Amino acid sequence: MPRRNDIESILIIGSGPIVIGQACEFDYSGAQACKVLKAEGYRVILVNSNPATIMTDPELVDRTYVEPITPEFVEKIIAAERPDALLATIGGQTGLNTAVALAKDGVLDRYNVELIGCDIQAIERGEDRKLFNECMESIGLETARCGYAYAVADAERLVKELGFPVVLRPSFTLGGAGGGIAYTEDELREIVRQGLELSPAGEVLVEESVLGWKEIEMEVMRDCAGNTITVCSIENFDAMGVHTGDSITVAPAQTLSAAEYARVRDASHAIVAAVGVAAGGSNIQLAIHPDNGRMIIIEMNPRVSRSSALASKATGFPIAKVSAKLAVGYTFDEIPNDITKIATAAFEPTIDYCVVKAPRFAFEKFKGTDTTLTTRMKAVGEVMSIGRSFEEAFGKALRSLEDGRAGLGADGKDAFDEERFAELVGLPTQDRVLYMAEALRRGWSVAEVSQASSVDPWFVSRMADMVAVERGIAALELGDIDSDTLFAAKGFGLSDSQIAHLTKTDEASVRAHRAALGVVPTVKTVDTCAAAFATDTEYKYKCYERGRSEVVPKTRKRALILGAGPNRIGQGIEFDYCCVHASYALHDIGYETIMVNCNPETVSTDYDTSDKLYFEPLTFEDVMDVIDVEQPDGVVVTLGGQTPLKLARALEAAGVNIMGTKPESIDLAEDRDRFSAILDELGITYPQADMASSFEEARRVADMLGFPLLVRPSYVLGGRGMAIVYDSAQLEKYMAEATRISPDHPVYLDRFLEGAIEVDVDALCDGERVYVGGVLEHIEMAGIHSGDSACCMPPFSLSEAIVSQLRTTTRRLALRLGVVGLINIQFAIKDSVIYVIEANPRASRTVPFVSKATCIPLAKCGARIMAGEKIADMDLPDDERRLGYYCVKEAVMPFGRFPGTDVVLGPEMRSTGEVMGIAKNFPAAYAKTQLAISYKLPEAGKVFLSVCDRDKRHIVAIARDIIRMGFTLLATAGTARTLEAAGIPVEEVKKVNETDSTIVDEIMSGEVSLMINTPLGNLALDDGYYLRSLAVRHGISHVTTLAGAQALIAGMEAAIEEGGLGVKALQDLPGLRGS
Amino acid sequence: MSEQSKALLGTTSAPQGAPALLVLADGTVFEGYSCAAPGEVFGEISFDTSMIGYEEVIADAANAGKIVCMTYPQIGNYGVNRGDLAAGKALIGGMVVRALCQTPSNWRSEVGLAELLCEQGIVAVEGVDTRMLTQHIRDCGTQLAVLSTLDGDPASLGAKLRERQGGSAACGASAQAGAPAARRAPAPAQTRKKAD
Repeated sequence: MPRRNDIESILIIGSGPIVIGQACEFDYSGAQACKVLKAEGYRVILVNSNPATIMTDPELVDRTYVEPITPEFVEKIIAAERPDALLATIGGQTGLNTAVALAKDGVLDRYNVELIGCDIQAIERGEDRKLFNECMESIGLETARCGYAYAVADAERLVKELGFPVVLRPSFTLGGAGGGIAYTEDELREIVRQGLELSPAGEVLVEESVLGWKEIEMEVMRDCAGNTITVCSIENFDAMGVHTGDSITVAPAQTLSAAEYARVRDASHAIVAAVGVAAGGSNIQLAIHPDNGRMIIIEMNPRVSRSSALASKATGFPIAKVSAKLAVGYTFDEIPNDITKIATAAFEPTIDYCVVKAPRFAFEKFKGTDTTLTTRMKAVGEVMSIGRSFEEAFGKALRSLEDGRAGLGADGKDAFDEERFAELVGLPTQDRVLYMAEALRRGWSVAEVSQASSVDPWFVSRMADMVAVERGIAALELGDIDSDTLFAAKGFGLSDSQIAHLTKTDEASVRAHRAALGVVPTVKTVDTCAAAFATDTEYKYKCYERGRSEVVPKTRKRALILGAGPNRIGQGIEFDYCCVHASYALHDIGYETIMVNCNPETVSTDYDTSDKLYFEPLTFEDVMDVIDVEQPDGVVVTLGGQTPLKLARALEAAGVNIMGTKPESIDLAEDRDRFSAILDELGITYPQADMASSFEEARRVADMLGFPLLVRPSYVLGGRGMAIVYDSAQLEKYMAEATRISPDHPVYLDRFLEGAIEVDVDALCDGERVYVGGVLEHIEMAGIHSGDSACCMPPFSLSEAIVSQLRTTTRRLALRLGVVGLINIQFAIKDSVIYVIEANPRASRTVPFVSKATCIPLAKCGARIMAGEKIADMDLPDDERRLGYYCVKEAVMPFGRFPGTDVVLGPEMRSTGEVMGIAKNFPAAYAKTQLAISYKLPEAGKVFLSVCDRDKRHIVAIARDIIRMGFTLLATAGTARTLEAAGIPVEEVKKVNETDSTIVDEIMSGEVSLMINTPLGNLALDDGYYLRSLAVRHGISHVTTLAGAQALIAGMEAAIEEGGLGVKALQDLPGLRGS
Repeated sequence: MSEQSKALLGTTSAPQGAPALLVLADGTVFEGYSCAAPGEVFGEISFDTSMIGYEEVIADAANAGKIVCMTYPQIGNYGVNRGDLAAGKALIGGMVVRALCQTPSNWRSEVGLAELLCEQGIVAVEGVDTRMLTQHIRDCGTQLAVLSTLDGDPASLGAKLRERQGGSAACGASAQAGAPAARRAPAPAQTRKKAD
């Protein structure tokens, strides 16, 4: 069937902020869908609260709403835009849930909006376990034996039939949130109780355990004529019991026989038909008993998913793009295959390489939380790698993770817990593969390791071969290793860095030896057809293969852009956004752009974002290999965050031309002594600071600077290991820990400017002129990591004089450092004195937000400057113009995923994503960000106040506002006394551990709708910690800073006063250029 | 292959076999290592793009006597269940793979693929850049080829091929491994599954 002409406009719902379980894969799929539908001539309207997305670039669609993804806001957008259709299957669970809510509320009927791609019945059959299980039974497929619990007692009854362990899955939650495996009655009660609270339907599925079974995923697609294709099969390395998002996964499936695969495939096709996916992609998860082949259907998602993004990258088949076309009526045979040009989407892709995905975790940021991997996803990002064997791809994946490791161990960084060694070979944790490899080294058999870990013997055999090769190499001297041997070792996935460790040499020597022997990688192509058709696709990977390298000769200037690697806290989608923009900009001015990245979730690794894509780890070895092959004229290292920046020096030393700001300038800003010297020279104030390598040294520094001190290890991103210490005892404890984190680098100690206002400035500099992109005032005071702090643009409380001074300082500093491209400077303002905290001569996390707020594509401008263009020639509007509206960016915290960790904000960044609110004043914009994160603002009930002494004086005004809005107050003794003294009615509550304390009950019963709890300094495991954790678990709004509380209360008032908040498209903001 | 690398691979699950040669009628030579029965086999060279299903490929009557190149690089991962062989035995003439797995894993597996091929006297070679070979077949068309673990001389194998063909040379007789092959009409892939 051809394109539907009965619809003209389509609303697309994005997935909102990056959270665990829903990351930038939905920007990748959403951006594809937007592009396709726009190209098809539809009027496309988009809603997404996440400003760091490519899909929200105003030129991509007709109407872009950076607004909260809630039924209320989407209804307002529908009312304003009157779309004919709604495509909800590419915005993850958020998009789907919102669409379901809109349909159920009758909004879609009222405005005559048709849901395309998937109807409500199909969504419900896919998502509702009960309906799904019935549906599976009707087509003769088995699901795990199970029952539903609506109360803890139901679960206890069910377990009597099923036996322990049981798998618990709350209905309708993201990424399996709230789920788990219970082995005991206590665990059962705990998980079910949490799950009931988290599930919007108050329902938890109690299921027979399929722990240890093979986990297989199928990515299938169906068109409106009922044709179904399989895009990709994926086998999980980790057996059932570990969430697929936390598992290492491999495509295609490795250990299914043709007969088994046929069963799996037939079942998958039957499932999409039975569930009733109208047209689009679906993900199906199955468990297969390793000893008898019994097949159980685990779940299906009637939408594009994290796995479909992975499958798209793994095969080159663009699932989201094809989904969007299918949704508007096309059938497979009408959609050409972009890559082969000859075939259509009806041909199932086939691959001639092995793909491995590995998850990236960030447990070090969440002290106190359980690091065992379960059915509840905890990974914050992932990497993908491609090789001509599992071994090669596996080695690459492990060195892509940016966790300091160079592969499957054998890099001199192994540190095993000897007491628990045997247990940790079996227990799924982020380090299990390293324990498995070590067990093989220590003489465990493949069978023993497989038995302990439930990992299929096939994978363990491959690891055993990798370990054998590693041992063989270790027995040789580097200089004696011949070409054949080195080639073989590389083919088994060993990195240069591992070979250096094994032969007790260094990486440079290994590289030199490799070059001398001619052991260099071959470049192969991802073409969806295993070379069956000739293609000119430029989606590449490296491998060690003695055959033909598929590289085309250079015809024009080449720019290589280094991506940001796996998402992790402190380095996320913001940097990918900058890399993508740079690629677009450099392509537009005549460069052939080459992207190198290993993150399958991103837009940068879409094969048509850049002229050429290399799916490779961002290590020196892999990047240099690509550079050797492609001979780029310049390499961009300043847009992908710390990952490529770290390589700048080494690349330059290898003779590579670094585009824009030179490594020398980067060093000038990053080296504290050199940077301080420059600030002194320019007469710019900065907090007094010094460094120390031992507690004794640190104490001497403290004596000189005085407490409190901001302490941190050198060379880290995202405030890793950063803390504020208030006394000598805390300092001693910190120094003891810091030397463990990074023994090679000293610790920095800065005088901490307590109560200072922090400001971020993002600017462009071409060596002659500086253009200030944005001045962002932080809402939380100094001491909260800038990535976790909300910020507002333009500043809401700074005087014109201060802002003007900030601009001047930015100009002088950028020019002095020799920045050519982007720079970000962090300031702190205390008692009207401006201090420079740090300068980063690279793209910052706030660049996408500033670009959205001002409609100036800063990253694109930055890239053009790096290519030699001048600011004066860019026709940018005056950077001192007034915006006429306020934009607020707020961080999204993943605390709900990490029970047991403290939720107080501090100098160590822990947020995973961000949302943006745009409104005509600051409080309204702030309110929108809160709605975008938690979907509702507190409206009535009790507000619990407990603030530290420092904040007592300031809480009075806030409390008055709260009372005025009709809330009642609860407070702990000290805070209550302050309020009573000010004549504010308040009910005093006893602390948690006092007898007759009722506060826990009031929180659990939902009477408390907001908690304001500000701890001071040392975060002991106190009452506050317990109550804050309780608030997180029960989804109660909570604020841990006074500034945050002020903003929230003002926002709540704004939301009430105006009778609701309006919506505004980016295209309607004054000053939008280029459209 | 050097003695050193042989020693290295000797400690893995897949030690290096004896040298083997694949020579196409157009003169292209691919070097590899024997991974099944020793011998010398002549047959039409073709490729198969299925990622799973080598047991179907080897027993497919359409492949009888052919030398089949598998495009998926690791073959034999799940072993073979004899009941899955449509013809009850392997019908192909020879097999070309990038790597043949010696440690299969699947509950239904009765015998490893290498073992099965040996048992049925089928010659197979591994260590070949199967993607490059596939591209060559795609561009130059299917043609007669010889796979040998007995004769290490490409010229001698080439002569035997010519003898079989009665002196007629196929496309691009001068093409060498690694050289860009002349582009011809693409041969359709044999096993690509259409939407059902």
